[in-house]
Amino acid sequence: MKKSAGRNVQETCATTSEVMAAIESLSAEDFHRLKRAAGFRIRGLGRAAQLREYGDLLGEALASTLEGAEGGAKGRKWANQRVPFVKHLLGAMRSIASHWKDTWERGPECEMPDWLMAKDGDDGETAYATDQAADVRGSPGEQYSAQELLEELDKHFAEDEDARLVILAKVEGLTVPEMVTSLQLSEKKVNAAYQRIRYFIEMKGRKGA
Amino acid sequence: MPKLDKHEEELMRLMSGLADSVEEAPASEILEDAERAGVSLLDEAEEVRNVLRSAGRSHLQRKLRDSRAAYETALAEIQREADLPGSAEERRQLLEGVLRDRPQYQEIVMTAQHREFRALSDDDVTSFLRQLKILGLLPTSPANK
Repeated sequence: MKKSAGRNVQETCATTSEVMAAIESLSAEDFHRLKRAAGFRIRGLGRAAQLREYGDLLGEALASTLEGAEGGAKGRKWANQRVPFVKHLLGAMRSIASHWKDTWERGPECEMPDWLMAKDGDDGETAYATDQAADVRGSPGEQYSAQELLEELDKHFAEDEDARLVILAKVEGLTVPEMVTSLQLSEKKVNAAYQRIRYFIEMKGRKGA
Repeated sequence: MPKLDKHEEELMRLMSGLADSVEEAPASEILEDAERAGVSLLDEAEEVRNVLRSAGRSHLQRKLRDSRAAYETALAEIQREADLPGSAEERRQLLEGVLRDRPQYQEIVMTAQHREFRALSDDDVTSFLRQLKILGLLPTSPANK
């Protein structure tokens, strides 16, 4: 255990060996959750993913955590007494994906590993001192496939009112509590709709969409 | 500057929502997802574990390379120190000798603050000798001279 160099000096964070050991302790359900979450984040990035795949996002989250375990100011600290490893990685991936989008939009600058710029926060949330971007712009075809996929979702869930509402609400940027309030849908129904949408996307992905 | 278009932004928000829903879903729902999609959890666990192991290995290898580079730099620094004479008096004599033989170097190392050679501290002398060495202006292996 090491004292975090971050904002909370009382917080302890995992060492390199604790991080590596945690990989071996993950369950099959954890691995499935990590892969699905990474896949959706990469799919959402579209062209901004710059040909990266789910493994790149997951690998970056781990590399950043290992960097944080070195005890310096860089990387993400895993507060292993407080946060489960899988939750930490999920938070790190969320933050990295958001950072990749920002840097892609800022244009090509010198490419640097994500962990070099990362500053740790709670549950893997990260702030960056400097931004960066890569020069690969991704496929222009992504723009069209985004529209196509949205149209397909619209068509597929035309008879599924809950799923259709959840898609529309999410596209508008509503959170689950906002959906519950404004759409008069229970949280259970929202989550069930999400599950059906996830299944559709999963099957669509396997068909090469 | 590149920008995601309207549809891409919309899809990104939806996908973020789906990713969030995966993060928040109870274990039973995640397992149900996998079963429904016909995923072999054992094969997938092996695949994802390997992604993490590989990322960990790459990170540690890079750290080792960095450590080796730092070690070599430190070694070169020690070597540079070792090339200087062992005692303060010998170092002072060496600098004095170099500046006597080549008075033109005096302008390089002596500033207005250090006009009096005898007033130089050993740290100043060592620093000047290092500067001369870096510039290649010091005789090779002066310690042996």
